[in-house]
Amino acid sequence: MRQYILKRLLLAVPTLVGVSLIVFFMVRLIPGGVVQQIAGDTPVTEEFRQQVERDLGLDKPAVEQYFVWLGGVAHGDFGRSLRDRQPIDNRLRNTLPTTLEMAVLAIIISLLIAVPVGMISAMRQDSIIDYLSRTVAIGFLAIPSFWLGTMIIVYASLWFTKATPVPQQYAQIWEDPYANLKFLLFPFGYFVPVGPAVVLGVGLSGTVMRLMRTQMLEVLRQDYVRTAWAKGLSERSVVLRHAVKNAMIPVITVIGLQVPIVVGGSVIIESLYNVPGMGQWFFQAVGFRDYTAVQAIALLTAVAVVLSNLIVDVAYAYLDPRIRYS
Amino acid sequence: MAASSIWDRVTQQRVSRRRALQMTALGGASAGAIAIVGCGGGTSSGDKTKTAAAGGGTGTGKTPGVTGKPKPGGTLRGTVSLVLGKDPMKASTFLTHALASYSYSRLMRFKTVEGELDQKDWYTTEPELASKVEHPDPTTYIFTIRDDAVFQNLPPVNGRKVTGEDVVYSYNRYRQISPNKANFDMVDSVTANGQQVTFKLKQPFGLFLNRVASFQDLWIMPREFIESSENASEERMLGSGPFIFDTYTPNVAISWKKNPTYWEKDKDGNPLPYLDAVNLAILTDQNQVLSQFAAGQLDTISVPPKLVDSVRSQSPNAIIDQALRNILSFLAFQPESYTANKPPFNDDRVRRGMSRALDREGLLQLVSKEGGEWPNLPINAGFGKSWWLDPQGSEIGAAGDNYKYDVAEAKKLFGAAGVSSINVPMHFSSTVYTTVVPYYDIVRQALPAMLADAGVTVKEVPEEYGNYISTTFAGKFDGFSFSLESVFSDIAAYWTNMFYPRDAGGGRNHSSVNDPTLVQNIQKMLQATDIEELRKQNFELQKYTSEKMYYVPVVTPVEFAARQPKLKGVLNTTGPTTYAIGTEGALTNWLDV
Repeated sequence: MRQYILKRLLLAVPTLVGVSLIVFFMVRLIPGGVVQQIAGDTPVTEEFRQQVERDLGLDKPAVEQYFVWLGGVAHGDFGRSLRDRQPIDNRLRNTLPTTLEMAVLAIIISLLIAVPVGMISAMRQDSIIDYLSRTVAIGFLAIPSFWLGTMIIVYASLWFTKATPVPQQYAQIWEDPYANLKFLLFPFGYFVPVGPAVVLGVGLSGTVMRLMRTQMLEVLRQDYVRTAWAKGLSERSVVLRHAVKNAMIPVITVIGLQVPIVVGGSVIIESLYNVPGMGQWFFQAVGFRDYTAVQAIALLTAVAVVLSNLIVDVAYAYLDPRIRYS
Repeated sequence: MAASSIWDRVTQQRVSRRRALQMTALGGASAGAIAIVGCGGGTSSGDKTKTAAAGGGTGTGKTPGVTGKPKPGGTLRGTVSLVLGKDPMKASTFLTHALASYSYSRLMRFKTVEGELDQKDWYTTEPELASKVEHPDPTTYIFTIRDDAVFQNLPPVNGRKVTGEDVVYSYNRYRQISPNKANFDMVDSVTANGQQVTFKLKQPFGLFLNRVASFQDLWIMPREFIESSENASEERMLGSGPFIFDTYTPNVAISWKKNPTYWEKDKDGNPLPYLDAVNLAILTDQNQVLSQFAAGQLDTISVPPKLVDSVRSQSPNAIIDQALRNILSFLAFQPESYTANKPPFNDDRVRRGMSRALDREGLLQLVSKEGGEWPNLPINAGFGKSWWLDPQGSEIGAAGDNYKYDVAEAKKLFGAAGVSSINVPMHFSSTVYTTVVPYYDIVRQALPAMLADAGVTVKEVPEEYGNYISTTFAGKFDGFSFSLESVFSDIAAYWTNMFYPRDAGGGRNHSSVNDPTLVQNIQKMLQATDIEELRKQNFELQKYTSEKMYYVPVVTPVEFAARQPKLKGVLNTTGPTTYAIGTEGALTNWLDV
């Protein structure tokens, strides 16, 4: 297993280099460079352009810029923002954990909702509970998370004169766990779960719920499950000890695929809920043509996707003893 | 297993698909019936009326300044959508300049008053860092810096006095690095002698004090701070302003603390500012801003026109201020109209026809029932009647006809120019403008239909802001564009930027307008030493450009801000759009708690 993990990590390197190359050149192809953004709607003279490009290191050939940047990344230095000249590392240190935490919480919430409901729905197939949960799953799939978030914020304000916390009230989980979880899960207090992580998680749970139900139905019809019933095991024992583990394998795959969706979907949710994360920053960086910020965030997102898929693959081996990696 | 309880019966009972579909259909029909009965009829409180702005005048219901004894203390909580750098000399965006005004000062600033200010007094200047200004001859201005003006008491300046050398240093730095440096091209030299600093101009410039008071240009910054490290001015702000920069966290907030050594006092001798701190949360979503305000977590916000009624209903005690901003909305025509005589917009009859096809009053009402004003071009209604020739007034004479909505006349003008139909692209920004200037998108959406009535078929070409700024706004487009011109602090900047050749100071000459007569007359106007003569010539030029319609001005809607009742000391500035919020706004704010 150790060798497998190492091999996967080594194979990830060309993938990440490829991603960085694509992002590096694509962002520079967008019309209207960073010089124009800095000048705003003041016309850019040639003198001003040369001055700014010199200051920002953009007067060098693109290939040289790429290798300079890559060399910095290899040393853990992502360079400075072209917009405000501040080190990217500092901002990443604050924003990356926030977005990652929100993504992880969203996935956990989606599992907490989807797995039990999917299970019960399968166990009580064609009952009222089954129909209700399937309807709810479709609803969760159909309702965009940004709409749900907006409705929560607007109606909380209209009916209860409540607002979500302002960004200054956000604390990292290691600084103040209660404030952190309150911000992401219960922004209005009273343990009412309508926070950004919940809204994101609800959006994901529809797919997982449907998949869980389908997988459970298939597994419950397997011979070994019928044997377990015939042996007189309790429903709880049959489901939890025999059926769920096998039904979860495809669900784990889907979760791995949802990581980039969650990170991408966080852009709007972060804006809606004032979460000081990476998503909002990425969106602004593209608009500002802040090349170094875009490159750094894209690279880190790619790393997150690669690592999450590796975790998923390793989890298979735990769930299914037939799977062994050499 | 037999069902032994109600719960078991419910959970284990199978429901056939047919039964499930029947129940769903019944439920859906019931919900639909309830919706039709519940939502039909009635009028909404937001119904727009077709009445013109109150009194047919400015439509600016200015809130009078609040009297009462100011209470020191408290934190002003506001919001900003973006922080784009902290060095006002490196950026031209108003976002940076607005923030700079909390920590930095200028030699002059725009006058603020408590109570209503006559439009004739809008955009007048008063000394800020300067204690007096002498103007011994038409090309010389001598500023004496006040003796009690000191920088903030932080290293490396440590509260030392502001001197003439600081002004010279700041001017030289501005001329070296600022994207706006052309705004001071009229200056020949700047020299200091102790607390005095002398500006010598190449030729007379009647609006020089306005230029010095501009929020986009000459902020006074200390050398030892700027040169203390490569990015000192981007990491923090350190000047002589009323607030000391405290913290900045990207996408979270930016904050300042009161400057205890700020020199200015109120009329009773109490030190300013009254507030202990200013905290601006960085919020990008409009719903968030409104909900924070309704929950009392923000003291002041700007309000898009469509949401004014929402704010009124959610926060009935809030005070809604309205004002005219100086952002100019206009149609610009493809540069080849003037550089290559390319039809159809090379003919001023076609351009006047485009103007006659616009129902400006209708557009204003579309934005909000409070309406607004019609801009002249290039001088906006936000400059007030001292500088803006009202297209609906009597002074403009026959040139005012070019603004009157008349589709038949528009078609006649097109016909006279030999153009039976016009089929052109309309370029516009699909981002940034849409959030920073909320009425932009409302007006933009109405333009194609309005122009279609006059026989102009428009193909909309949305452009992301970065792309728009580097192409259309920079004068590389076909057809026409619906654009905004950002705020300048004096009328001269509009005239020169929009009508001078691009290589001679016409940085905003989007259409490459080339009218030597106009340029000559603008130069003549700007050299007038008598301000009344300058004003008169400015009005004549506006009549001229109203006939030529090189650009077609659209509308200047009233814009809104809301504040909590406890926020007092809100003074009216001369130019409703001065972005120097720190020294012309927050300076006198106080919280009545």
